[in-house]
Amino acid sequence: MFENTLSIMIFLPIVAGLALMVLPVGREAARAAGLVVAVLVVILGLKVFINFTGAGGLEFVEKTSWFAYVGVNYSLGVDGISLLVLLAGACLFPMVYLLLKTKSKGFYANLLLTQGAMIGAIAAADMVLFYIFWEVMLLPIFFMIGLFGGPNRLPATLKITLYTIAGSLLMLAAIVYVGVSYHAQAGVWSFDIAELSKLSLTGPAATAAFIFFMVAFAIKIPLFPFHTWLPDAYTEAPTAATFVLSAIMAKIGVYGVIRFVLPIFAEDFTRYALILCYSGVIGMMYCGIAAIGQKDFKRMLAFSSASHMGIIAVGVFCMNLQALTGTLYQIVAHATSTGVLFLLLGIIEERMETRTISDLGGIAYKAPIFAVFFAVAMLASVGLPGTSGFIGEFLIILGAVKFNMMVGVLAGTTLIIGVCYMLWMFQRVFFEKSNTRTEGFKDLSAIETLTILPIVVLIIVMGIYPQPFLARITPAAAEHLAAVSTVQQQLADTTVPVMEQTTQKN
Amino acid sequence: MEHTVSYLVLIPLLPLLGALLMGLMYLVSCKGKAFPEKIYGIIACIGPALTFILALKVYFGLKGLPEDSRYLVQDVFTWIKVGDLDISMGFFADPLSSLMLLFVTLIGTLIHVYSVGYMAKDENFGKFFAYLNLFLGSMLILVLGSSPVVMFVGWEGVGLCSYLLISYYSTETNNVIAGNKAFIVNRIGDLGFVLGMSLLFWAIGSGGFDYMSLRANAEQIGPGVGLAICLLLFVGATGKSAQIPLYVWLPDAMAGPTPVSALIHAATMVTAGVYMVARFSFIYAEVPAAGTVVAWIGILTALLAAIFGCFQRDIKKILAYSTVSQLGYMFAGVGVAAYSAGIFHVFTHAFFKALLFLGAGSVIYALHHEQDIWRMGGLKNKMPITYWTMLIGCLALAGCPPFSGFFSKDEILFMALASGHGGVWLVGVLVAAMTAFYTFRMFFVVFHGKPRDEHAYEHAHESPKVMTVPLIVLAVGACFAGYLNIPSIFGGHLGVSHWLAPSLTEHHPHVSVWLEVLAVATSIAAFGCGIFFAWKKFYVATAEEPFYTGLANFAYNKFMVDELYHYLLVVPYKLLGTAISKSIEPFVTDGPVKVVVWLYGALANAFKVVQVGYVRVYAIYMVIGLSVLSIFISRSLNL
Repeated sequence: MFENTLSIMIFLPIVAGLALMVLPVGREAARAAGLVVAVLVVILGLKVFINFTGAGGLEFVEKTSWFAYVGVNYSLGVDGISLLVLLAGACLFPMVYLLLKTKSKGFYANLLLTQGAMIGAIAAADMVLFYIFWEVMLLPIFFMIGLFGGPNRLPATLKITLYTIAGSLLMLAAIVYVGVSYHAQAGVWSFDIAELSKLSLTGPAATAAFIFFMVAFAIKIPLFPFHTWLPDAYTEAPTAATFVLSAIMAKIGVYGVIRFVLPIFAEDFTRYALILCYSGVIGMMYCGIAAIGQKDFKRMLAFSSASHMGIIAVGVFCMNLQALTGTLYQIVAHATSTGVLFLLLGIIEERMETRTISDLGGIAYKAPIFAVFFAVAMLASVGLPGTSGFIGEFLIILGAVKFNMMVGVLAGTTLIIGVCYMLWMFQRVFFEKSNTRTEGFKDLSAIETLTILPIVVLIIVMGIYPQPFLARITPAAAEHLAAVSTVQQQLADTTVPVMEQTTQKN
Repeated sequence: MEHTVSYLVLIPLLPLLGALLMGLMYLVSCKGKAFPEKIYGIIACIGPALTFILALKVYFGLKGLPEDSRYLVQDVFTWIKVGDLDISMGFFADPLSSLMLLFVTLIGTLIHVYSVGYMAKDENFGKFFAYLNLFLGSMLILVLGSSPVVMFVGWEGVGLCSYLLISYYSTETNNVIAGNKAFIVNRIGDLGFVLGMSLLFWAIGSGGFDYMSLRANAEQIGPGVGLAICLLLFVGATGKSAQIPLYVWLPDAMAGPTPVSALIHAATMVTAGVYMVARFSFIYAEVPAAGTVVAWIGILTALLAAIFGCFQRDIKKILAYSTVSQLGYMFAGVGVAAYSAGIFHVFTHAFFKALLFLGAGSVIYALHHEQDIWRMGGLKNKMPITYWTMLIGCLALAGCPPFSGFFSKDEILFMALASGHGGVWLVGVLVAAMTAFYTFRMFFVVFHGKPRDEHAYEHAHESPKVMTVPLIVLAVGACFAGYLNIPSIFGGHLGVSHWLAPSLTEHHPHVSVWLEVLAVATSIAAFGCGIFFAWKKFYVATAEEPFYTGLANFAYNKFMVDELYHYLLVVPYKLLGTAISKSIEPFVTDGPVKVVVWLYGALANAFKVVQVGYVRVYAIYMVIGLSVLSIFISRSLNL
């Protein structure tokens, strides 16, 4: 059965989700089923991670011809670029089933569907297949927010849906363009990602396609100024959906940029990299500063998450090995830390029935274990050495300094901006005096503790011993950058003024 | 491989394991019955004590090696390897780190012991010692890290512990704010550190990013980049070591328990910046301009803090400003390229300042958490051990010969003069006089004169042995630590400077003996002046707090720097945050989106007019449509 590991990881949740929708089962049964499936996916995900050799190229390949007349295949595979994204998508879900309660079984069904589709998008080795999963993963999110969200869920749902559909349409057009271009150059049809990556498209049409792709992914990440759907959607979504959106789905946007835009549009990418970097750092600063003005805990975390996504994106646009590796690493680091933060917030919301920061206080005295877990995730989020957050952020800043000193300095301010809002929030929620509401806050139960503990341990282990992860992703990142560096060299010869700083030897 | 040893990693690991163990014990027991304090106390002290023994082992290990190759290394595992960047989780001991190691572990151990007494009956006893051990472990990583990145792990780790311990009494909002302030201000410095480190890597890091390789390749750094690296790293130092403009967090940090102030905010962590500059002496020595900046920032900080120190009324705040001031001296030392003099002052300062803080703690403990010196007085007879040890500490701080502070401070001032930094020297002498003044102002008011608060005085008592024994040990250190580095003018041979020489890149200028005599004479004269004024003003039984007006009042209010920062930085930042979420976000960035939605709706409304819902109207539309279509078809077919 293990030749089809990836397919199982994709379709086990999808089939289970569909089955839950039609079968007459109760809410708790659905939760149990979801948990079993999620755990199975974790096991498979770990198996993929452990057996991954990192020799370069795709591993765990599955390939079946699908629409042969246009060269579309059902093909899956994992390489160093997608490995950690896949790991994040596979391993974090059991927490959701264990920690958060919801009103109906339909929610669990949707959660399963999302997970399957997301793993599909990550593992797809064919661009059309990627697009299909990309679209499918939006649907359950739509239902989760629209049906189970907060009081203002409908405008939020509408906004996120319109945004992402607009992005998707642009991406579809770009995919068609890329496919047609490949056909024109090679004489045969193919949507195989590895084949398409050999293309180097230039000219006005290519630039348009590049922009289409970038907009689609920028919306998903979200990159400033395409982020305005995020605060509403993250805040109104049920916490489990927020978790999915922030911890995993946003990363697929970054992954898409690395996977498609970087190799295929190497020239345009290089040309616009500086602007994109600024978009990333401005987004980081803007959202980070906005976070301090929030009264709603969840909205604050939403802005915080968006702020860190800005830095993660910068790592891609700097186009050097350290920054790109840092981004790929930070994808998991951010998924774990933000994921834990959102889930713990979900617990606060369930127990206190409020998310307003000023209503809380003194939780650390009532719930020390809860506070310690929260603190570890928070420190990882602000990039403290010894946690996973530091490795990624340090590599990104290091790479950014090389790419452009100004970008490096601005990216570095994340060190300061992050602690400002986080510590202030921590003070008001966990320290100071407890009030009548928080007086009754119960600490994590044994099961809850054991559920979060592995992720908290992972956060620390990834900070102290990151090499098993880095060793698996670095070769793929280097290979991926090879395409760009030749373009950089050419552009340097034709003297494009903006690029002067980036043309130093790698 | 005589340089590779296997015990270096144990030095930070032991306290870290202690922290982990105590942290888990605390978490497990916090819902039920807490473990007895004795168990925590033993676990807490055993780690630091063992590290001190290991520090001695390191020292003797180094001593057994030939002078030009005195170093020990241990690479535990590959930590971060991405392309050219290859950092191992490695530890590195050379004469410089061994000196740091010795006093950090010794004073760390003493303060752990003292804390067992001071923190007795605290309801979070276990948590406190978990934090304290975590701090010591981080500090030892900072000292022993074999590359700037590993050092940065300790660097941020001590910052975290500092935050946790400043806001230890976290029910009080002000304490937490002080903790936040410390963390955020340190983070501003850390940005400089990270950027400096990054520049350093891209300059010469591909040849190896450990200190030995960096030192070997230091010549390849261009002068411009070198200056940038030095200044950026120094930004990091100003954060951690509380120099202008980032000194503001340290006085507030006194909100933490007093042993914490002694260990973290006086003896060890705050000197990390000085250690870092000395560690990078191979770059700083190449860029004299950066050194000049460091020296001037240092000496001006010393002056500013000394001015504030003269007006404070909180005993811990006086000591805090004196720490800032002494740190300024240390930077003046490393700034004028007298790295060994700067480090030697770090060393002696650790003893007498830890002693002073612990002595102050003993006073505070005796007076039931009274910290205002103007409510103390006449404690001399009630607390003899505290009195005499404090006296030694004050004499050392004030730079009275032959106590330790005299030798180290004098060496810095002399080196400033000898290296041609006359201005730095002059300010330094002025600060020396002020130091003697404010130190003895505090001392006389607290221990002499009449008790100002009879009730508190009645209940005052000498502290238990667990607290006074560390005081005595530290007093011995404060007395005699100076003898390790006696200059030739007093018949010594600068033992510490020679010990440190292999780790540092420094040149000893050759100047006439008379210059040295001049420096020593002015230092002694400055001390004499300072103590004389203090004695005249405050050694009277009825001395009361003066009423400050004009400039003095301005200084009493610390030149309003905190308020300035508050209104210049904090308030605008918060306003910006609110502005973004209240105005910019809904109207500016989200505005176009809303406009599009509105236009779409308007368009729909426009079309709605024709959608009336009556079949007969639609029938007319159909007739019109069909007519138009048939006309169009007939035209196009030319019928």
